[in-house]
Amino acid sequence: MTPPRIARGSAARFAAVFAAMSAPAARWRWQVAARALTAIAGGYALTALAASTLAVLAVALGLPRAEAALAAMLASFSLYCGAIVWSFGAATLARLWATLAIVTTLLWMVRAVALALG
Amino acid sequence: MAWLHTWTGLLAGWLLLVICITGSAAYYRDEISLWMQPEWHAGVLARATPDGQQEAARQALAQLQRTAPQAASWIIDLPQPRKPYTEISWTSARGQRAGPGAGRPGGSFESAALDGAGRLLPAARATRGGGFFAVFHFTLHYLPVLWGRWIVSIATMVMLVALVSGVITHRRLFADFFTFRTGKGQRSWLDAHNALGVLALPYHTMICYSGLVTLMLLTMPAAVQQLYPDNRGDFVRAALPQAPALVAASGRPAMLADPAAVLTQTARHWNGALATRLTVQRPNDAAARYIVQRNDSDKLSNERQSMAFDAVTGTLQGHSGDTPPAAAQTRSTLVGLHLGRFADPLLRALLFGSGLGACALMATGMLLWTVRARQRRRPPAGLRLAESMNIATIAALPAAMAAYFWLNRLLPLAMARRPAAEIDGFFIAWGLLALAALAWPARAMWMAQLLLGAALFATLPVLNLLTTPAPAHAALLDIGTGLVAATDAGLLLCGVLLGWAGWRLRPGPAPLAKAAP
Repeated sequence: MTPPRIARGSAARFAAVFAAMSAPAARWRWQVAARALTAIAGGYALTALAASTLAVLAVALGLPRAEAALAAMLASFSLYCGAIVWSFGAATLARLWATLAIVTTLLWMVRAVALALG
Repeated sequence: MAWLHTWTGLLAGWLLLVICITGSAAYYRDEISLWMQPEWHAGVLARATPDGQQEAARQALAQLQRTAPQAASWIIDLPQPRKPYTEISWTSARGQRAGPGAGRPGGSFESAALDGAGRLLPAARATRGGGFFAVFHFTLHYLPVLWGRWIVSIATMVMLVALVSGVITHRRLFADFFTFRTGKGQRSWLDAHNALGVLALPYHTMICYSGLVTLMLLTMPAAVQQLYPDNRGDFVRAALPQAPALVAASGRPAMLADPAAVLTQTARHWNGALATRLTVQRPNDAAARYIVQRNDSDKLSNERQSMAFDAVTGTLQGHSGDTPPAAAQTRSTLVGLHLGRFADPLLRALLFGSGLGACALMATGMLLWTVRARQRRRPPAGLRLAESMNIATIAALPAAMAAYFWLNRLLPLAMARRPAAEIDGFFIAWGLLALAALAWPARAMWMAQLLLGAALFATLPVLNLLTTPAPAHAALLDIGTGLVAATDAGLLLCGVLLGWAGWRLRPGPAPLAKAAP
């Protein structure tokens, strides 16, 4: 039986991300820093926006306010976790940021509509 | 993803390991607290049954009538399966201060404890008991209150990410159930890490997510800020059931009704569930009110359920928390799962074992990293520090925890700030052992610290026997011979486990690869 290696590239995607790793180490470090920052700060901001959107949406759909806030808070950790993992899994930084911008805009719009309805 | 898994795990690993070890100990917080108050071990066991609770309520009321008839309110914590005594406390805002034999003053509250025979238990030594481990595992003790919670939440979030990325990294998730190769050094650590992670994945995810949920008002307030922009207090009152406010006194004296009848009613309403706490507002006043809070040891959720009665006539005034809405129920179930109050002894042992499994998951992960790093041609600069940190968390922390138990019995009883001294002693012991590990992170240090912890734990039952007041050993049905003996056995088991780990590291012709960290 061949020994499994922990660093095995099961995430073939991930290997592709760092295809540029053969490039100078400085570039790799910058890539990692950018992704980490996007994951932690961007992910948190996105989660906060998504949670408040969910809450507003739930109120618009008739849920009591306390329930809506609780439900959105309960879901927020899985949203944050998803955002972080996806930040590291996205194919390129450009695509990561573009997707982040699109999702943010969509959430803003949904929340604005729900606020207007509610 | 493998890269993400390694680095998130490494960055938060030691902190998580500390949180996890002390959090696992917190499953036994009541048992540890009882062990640490040997003055009470001589008392007669109070039974946590409907009859036993009714009797305890009557005894407590009689005692409170003698001690604090003028108090604004009385609180009676009825006997529980893990707390075989009755705790009474009262506000000293109105009327006299502590009566004869009453316990230590705590703010404007006075308190005391009664045993199953209704006798006042002697004032126990001041200690934070098992509650210290429970609180430390999310506050980190010396830090400002919010900092500790934030740091622990961030580390827990990192663990959630490490779990998810760990699963993604795994193509052989199912095969790892059946893969374990012993005595192969690095490969064994990897197999152990995978098996521990995969087998108990539901537990790890549950404890992680529910831990985050307990602090979500602090860490994820966006939804509340959106819906309650001006007053988050409104949200807290609406979403989390609160204790009823104190009724106004009428000024007319009146006799209290029999609490046993009230407890019979609550047991019927809650399908036979026990009560946790009986509060008497405005005792001996015509406006007096009984509030009974339901015990949450027979349900997953820790939703606060209570019933209120007119304490003079004994008629029901209302009940709350019986049918919480869905999201509130979800939250309280998650919090209840995290606290594990529902667990009977067997399930509690399983939860504790799962907690230790999570500790082992992190420990094997950290060890795996150092083993791999050591094999490189140019070991990374942080290797020595990482090895020291491994010793300081895996071997030194349990030894320091045993030292906390020892200090509980060895510090002078009349000492000022005694609970704080016990805790400071724990950190001093841990700090000294960590410094030793930093100075000399070698195999002999592993062995020495593991064996030290083993010796400290394994001798705790003897210490208990020697330092418990004599009457506790006399009666057969007393508190000391039942629950405390079980705690003694548990402490001994901790000692045996640490001793086994330390013994495997002994120098000699034994297959070194097996245990080499």
